[in-house]
Amino acid sequence: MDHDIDGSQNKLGARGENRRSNFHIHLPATPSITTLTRGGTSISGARSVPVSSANSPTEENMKSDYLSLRHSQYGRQQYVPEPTRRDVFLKKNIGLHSYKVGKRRTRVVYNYDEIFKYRERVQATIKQSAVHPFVTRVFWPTDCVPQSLEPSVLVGFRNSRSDYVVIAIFPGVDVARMVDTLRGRETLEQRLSESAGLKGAYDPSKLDVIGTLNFKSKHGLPLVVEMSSRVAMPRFYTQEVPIAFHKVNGHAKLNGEYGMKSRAMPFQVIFYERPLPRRLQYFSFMPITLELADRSSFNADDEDRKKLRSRRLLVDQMTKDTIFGFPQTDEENCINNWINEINLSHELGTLLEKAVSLAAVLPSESQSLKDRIMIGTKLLFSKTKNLLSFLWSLLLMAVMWILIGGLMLYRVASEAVLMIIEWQPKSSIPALKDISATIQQLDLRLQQACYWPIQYITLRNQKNNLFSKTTFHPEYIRFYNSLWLVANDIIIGAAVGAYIIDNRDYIVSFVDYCINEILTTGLRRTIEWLMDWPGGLKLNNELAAFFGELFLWVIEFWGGYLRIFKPYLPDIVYLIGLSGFVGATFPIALIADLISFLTIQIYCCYLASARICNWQLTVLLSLFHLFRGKRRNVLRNRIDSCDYDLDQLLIGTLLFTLLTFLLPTVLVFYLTFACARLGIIIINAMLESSLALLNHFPLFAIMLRLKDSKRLPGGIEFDLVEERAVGEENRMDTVYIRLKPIALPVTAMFQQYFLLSKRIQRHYLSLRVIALLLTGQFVPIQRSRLYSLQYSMLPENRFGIWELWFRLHDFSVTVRAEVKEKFALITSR
Amino acid sequence: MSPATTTTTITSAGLSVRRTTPTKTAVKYTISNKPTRRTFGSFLRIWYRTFCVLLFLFLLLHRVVPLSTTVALPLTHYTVHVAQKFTISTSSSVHDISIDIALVLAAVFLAVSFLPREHTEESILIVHDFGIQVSSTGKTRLSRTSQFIPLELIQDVVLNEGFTGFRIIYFLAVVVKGRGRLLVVFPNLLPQREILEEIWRDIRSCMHQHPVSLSVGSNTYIEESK
Repeated sequence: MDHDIDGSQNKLGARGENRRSNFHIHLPATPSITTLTRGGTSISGARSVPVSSANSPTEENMKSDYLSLRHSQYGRQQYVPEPTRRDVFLKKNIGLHSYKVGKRRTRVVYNYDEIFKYRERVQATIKQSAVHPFVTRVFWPTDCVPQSLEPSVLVGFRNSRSDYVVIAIFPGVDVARMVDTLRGRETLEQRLSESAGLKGAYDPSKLDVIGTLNFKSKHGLPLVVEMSSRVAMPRFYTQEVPIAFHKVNGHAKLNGEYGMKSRAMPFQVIFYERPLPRRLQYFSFMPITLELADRSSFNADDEDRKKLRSRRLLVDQMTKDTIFGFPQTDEENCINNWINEINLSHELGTLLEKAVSLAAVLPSESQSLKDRIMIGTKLLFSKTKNLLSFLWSLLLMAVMWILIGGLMLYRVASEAVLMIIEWQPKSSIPALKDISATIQQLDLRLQQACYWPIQYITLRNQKNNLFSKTTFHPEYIRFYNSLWLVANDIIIGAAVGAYIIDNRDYIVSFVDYCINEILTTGLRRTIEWLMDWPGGLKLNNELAAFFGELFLWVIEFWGGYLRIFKPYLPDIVYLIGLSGFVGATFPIALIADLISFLTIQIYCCYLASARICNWQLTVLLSLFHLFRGKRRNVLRNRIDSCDYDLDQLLIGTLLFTLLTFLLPTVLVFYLTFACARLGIIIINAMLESSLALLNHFPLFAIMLRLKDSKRLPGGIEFDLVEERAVGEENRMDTVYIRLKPIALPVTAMFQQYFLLSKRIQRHYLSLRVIALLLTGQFVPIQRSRLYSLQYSMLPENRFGIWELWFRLHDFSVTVRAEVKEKFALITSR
Repeated sequence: MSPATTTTTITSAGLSVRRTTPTKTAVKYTISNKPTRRTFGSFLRIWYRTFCVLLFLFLLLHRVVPLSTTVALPLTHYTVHVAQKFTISTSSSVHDISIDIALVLAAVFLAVSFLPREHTEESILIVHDFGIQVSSTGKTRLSRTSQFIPLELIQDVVLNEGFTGFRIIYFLAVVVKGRGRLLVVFPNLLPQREILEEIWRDIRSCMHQHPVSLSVGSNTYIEESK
């Protein structure tokens, strides 16, 4: 195995001499720069282009290079690429300020301005010498190769002299006619204008007849393709000679005529299967985003931001180090260009086919009886279809005004409700929706319902448009996902509601038991146990009695209210059951609220005990400092030593001992309530995550993924077709690559859930939270943060009433126009 | 005439590096840590898998036919039993739930023994004048990530030195334009610097849009001097 490389390298080295003499572009020697920055050493531009004849490495150099590649012990060898030459170069060309050789590594400090200048110089050189890329790239549709491999004409986009996208193959068509059809723009434009939205979707000047398949005779077209069987790889020849090819080593006949049979032209053939726009399939460079762009994922956390910042620093550093960059291009366009053309291919291909067949049919006037019958049937069929669609849109128009009125009324009402829900008298007072899960759920549903008409109108307008336009697909998925989720929610809710109503008595008795046994009696018993030396732990009797009575009082107080509340319990459970018919989310939210309501006393006790515990710990800490003769300097945030008076020390020490002995009592009470509180938080978190699942589950996306993964593109992938598959055909310089769409991975669909769980973990299960809990500090629940998941499918600011009105109005206008159009279509013949 | 697909493989430090070039305009490097020889671990794994499969099949059979009959009369009894099951449904279908639990557990074991990948394979495909594709296998057999970066988006390709823990590692990274993002090429295997350097040269040759750059890897397409 090693021998192989050895041989090839030797060859390379041997040819080196004669190759290098051929260059006419003399780039300045490349600097290789070793920097010791925080990010590490970056060796950018090092030895990349051994072009300049003056600085080119000798054969021995290359050999030793190779030897080092094989035998050097990693880590033992110091990595300083070609030190001497580089240093001289750096000193000459780039403002090298200082250069030290440390014990282990070379340290270079350099001047970025000089590097920038150098980079510009290099880029200018490249630009001047910019010849046409000499590789011809062809995108080849595998799904529309004709069965019988008869001579056919290739139509496609011609992006440059060496970049072709074949979008359709027309068998049995005369080249001259095809060229006439495509270049005599009138018929084509006429055909194409029928499908609205095609204008501006592509550059019509690029669309052309670009080649032939299996043609015997020569034409003036740039591409010539031969295919012996459907399984075999197509062979490509080009008649276009890139300027760069005056001479190729060993093949000296390039100048001028580049014959069909010369096989030295390098080709990159990229096979692709045309996505079917009617099935909403498409290719995409970036994964499809299921959430709205402007609220993509969560607002970055502090920790996320820190990571981002450090990464950006590294990347900035590397960007500065770049010596060879490309001339600035219109980036987005370049990438999306051919993907866009591929996405268009199927639709455009069928349109062209129609245009061609029309051009073919028109001249022949003699039709057989069979043809005439066929045409007649087709006509009848289309007429009935027109009539039906006319009637349907008439019906739609009649109902539309009622619908629009209803929608506007609904919108106004929901706006009023939303305003009440979101009203904040002061910024410190939370709005109603932040307090209660039910109201939050209501808010979500109302907002969704406000957004649906607008989504629907957008999608419907798209219907008349081109299918290949890929911008509306995520919107489509979002719309149907949210509709489906709501429907699902209602179905599950009906079941849950019915179940609750059926088992009302049992549920009521269970809740009753909970209130009696756990929230009142159970708590009382626990506190009484704590007051009486729990588990043999000797607490301070007086303090325990004081605390116990205080908490007992609170519990009794709330227990009294609960007793008043008890008779209404059956009605409340019935109400929860009924709310299930609006959606399963509502009973869940109501249960969450009910739990919060029933356990208010625990929350109060927790707050009080936490406060006391925290105070005591703080006092203990400062007294401990006093005990050591120190004190805390707040201004400088450090601990200073301090001379205390004797009486201060005495009192302080006494208090310290006292508080230390009282601490277990306080701690015991605190921990009890903290645990109870934690349990409630966990129950609530579970309920709320089930809410999140019901509200946000990517049901539609998963269904699409199973049904047709091409509708959910997660990027593109290239696969090298290797030798075994290629077979004999690959004698020439052609590389075959298969372009495949990647389906959106399941993890990407649940990306937000992962983020959410990570965030929950960070907020509730981290060391910080445990520390907060142990020191008796308040652990907040950031509800709004947890809920950001649920709103990620909605726009940040909901559309106003007027906005909706205008859109609906426009919609009605378009529908009316449609009706008129259809009427005209019916009456025309 | 150039040879067809050239494939060279070298093995160093437990990694096998495979370089595939159908022509000079596309290079693919595949690095994998699949052991060349069979180790004791793989031997154990095979036995473990066989055991899992057998256990699962045994439990499945047992779930359908009670154990004693399975052992005694394998086939005839089975058919009789199935016939019985379809005719008298309720009485005979009362079964022990523990078998179900065992079956589920065996299925989990089976999945655990088969799902994870034992070795990682990471590759980079360099298409001249077009772009770079970086792909790597995930932790499970089902997952595989690959990402294509078109030439226009490549700011630079760097060989960088990084510190992880007490180790100094070299990694090859693609600096993606406009996104403040680094794409590490062999993120899990992190091959030696020497290998990376070779690959890095190939990438540089792909990045330059004019013929000169190709001189690094090949010698056929070179301009004539004037």
